Amino acid sequence: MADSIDRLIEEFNKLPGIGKKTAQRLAFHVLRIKKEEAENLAQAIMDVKEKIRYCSLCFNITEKDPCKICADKKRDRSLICVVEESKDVLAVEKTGQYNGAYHVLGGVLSPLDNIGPEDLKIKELLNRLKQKGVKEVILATNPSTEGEATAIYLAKLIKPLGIKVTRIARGLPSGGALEYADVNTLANAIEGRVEF
Amino acid sequence: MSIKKTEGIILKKIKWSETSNIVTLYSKDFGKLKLLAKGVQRLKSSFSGGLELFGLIDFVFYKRGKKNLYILSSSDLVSSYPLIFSSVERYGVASAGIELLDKLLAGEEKNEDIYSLLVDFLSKVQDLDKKNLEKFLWAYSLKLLSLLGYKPRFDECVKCGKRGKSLKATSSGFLFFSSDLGGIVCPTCAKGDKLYFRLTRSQLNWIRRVLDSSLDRIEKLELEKREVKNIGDLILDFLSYHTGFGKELKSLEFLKKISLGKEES
Ligand SMILES: [Zn+2]
Ligand SMILES: [Zn+2]
Repeated sequence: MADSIDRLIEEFNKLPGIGKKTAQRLAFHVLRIKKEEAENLAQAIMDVKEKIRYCSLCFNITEKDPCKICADKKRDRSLICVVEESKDVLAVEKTGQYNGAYHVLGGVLSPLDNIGPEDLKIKELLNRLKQKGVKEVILATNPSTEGEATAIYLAKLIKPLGIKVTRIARGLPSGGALEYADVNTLANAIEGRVEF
Repeated sequence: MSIKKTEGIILKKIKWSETSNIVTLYSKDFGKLKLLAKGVQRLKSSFSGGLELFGLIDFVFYKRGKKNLYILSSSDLVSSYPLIFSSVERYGVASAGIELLDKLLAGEEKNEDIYSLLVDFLSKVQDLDKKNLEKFLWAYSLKLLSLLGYKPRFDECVKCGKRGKSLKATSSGFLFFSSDLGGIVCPTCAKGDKLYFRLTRSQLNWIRRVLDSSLDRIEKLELEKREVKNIGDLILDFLSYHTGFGKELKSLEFLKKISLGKEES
């Protein structure tokens, strides 16, 4: 087979959830589409790499720094919702029930992946909290082992600062993920959060 | 294969698709198993209490096709060992314990002694005094290695067979350990150009007592922090010689990051 198609198959194969068969299908799809469609795809990939960065306050992905949410004066900045990833911000935003700020950790504590506290945006969170005005931190990491462990770790760091710490309520399936929860379940979990 | 029922501890969880995971378990009756769990994100799944790392579950599974993969049909959480998460050090040590077991075991092989060692390890990690965590991890590793048949020899010199009172330390109190020979070496046999691990009398005695005691008693077996560290290095050296991995275990790197095992400042 031609080298270039092999290379494309290989690149697709590296993507999460894409096996060899699917990679082949995608590559042959690209072969069939119009040139400008292929250019759009390539450009979209490059745009993401070149334009998207992290908000210097909340570490959500954004094209402008600070991000839309951090820059919005109508949002309640005394409330910070701590999530694992940017896609969790999207999930919470979809509920339409939350009007506070966010903080994206960029992962969870995971010894089996050698991800420790300094690999996450924890220091940055504490710095944010040391400035006046934050009244409550909602820990909205996933209800998984790693998410729970991270929430407990954060609660122990934040409580001595005299700030209220809450955890999103059960009701999310254990081992589930915010991004897959339906809007109502997630809204209820935030609404029914309990003090740590 | 028909439907089987047993209990086990979850060692690893990998996302397989949006709605399914592959869980690696160490089970009481079948040893290490890899199981496909479908529908894990559903609010009402057949896996009550969830399928999370360290979880002890009762479960039912069956084999599908010829592949080495089983289907998990239902499960009930018996214990999640929640106090493991009370500190990041405990969490790290518990992870190192399961990572080591997962790495050391290749396939399905029933071993109830290993199973109860693992269960004891996880329950004990929960309430152990923090200062004993590292000691406990190495004690568990020694016992695990010995149950798996690696059995480094700590009773006699692996070269000349001297043991008991005739196994003498150097004037400064040292004996030696060789990973490739798989045990201790007396000072006479250690003379030469080989690099051996140095081991004090008290370290050797501690190791011997660990191998003879249950995990419950490890806390009572005193050993200085510095000596605990030396035993850790010895175990890792032995591991990397015989299995090809050791220091590079992810959880051990994690523990180093959070400074477990460093001198208290
Ligand atoms: Zn922001
Ligand atoms: Zn000898």
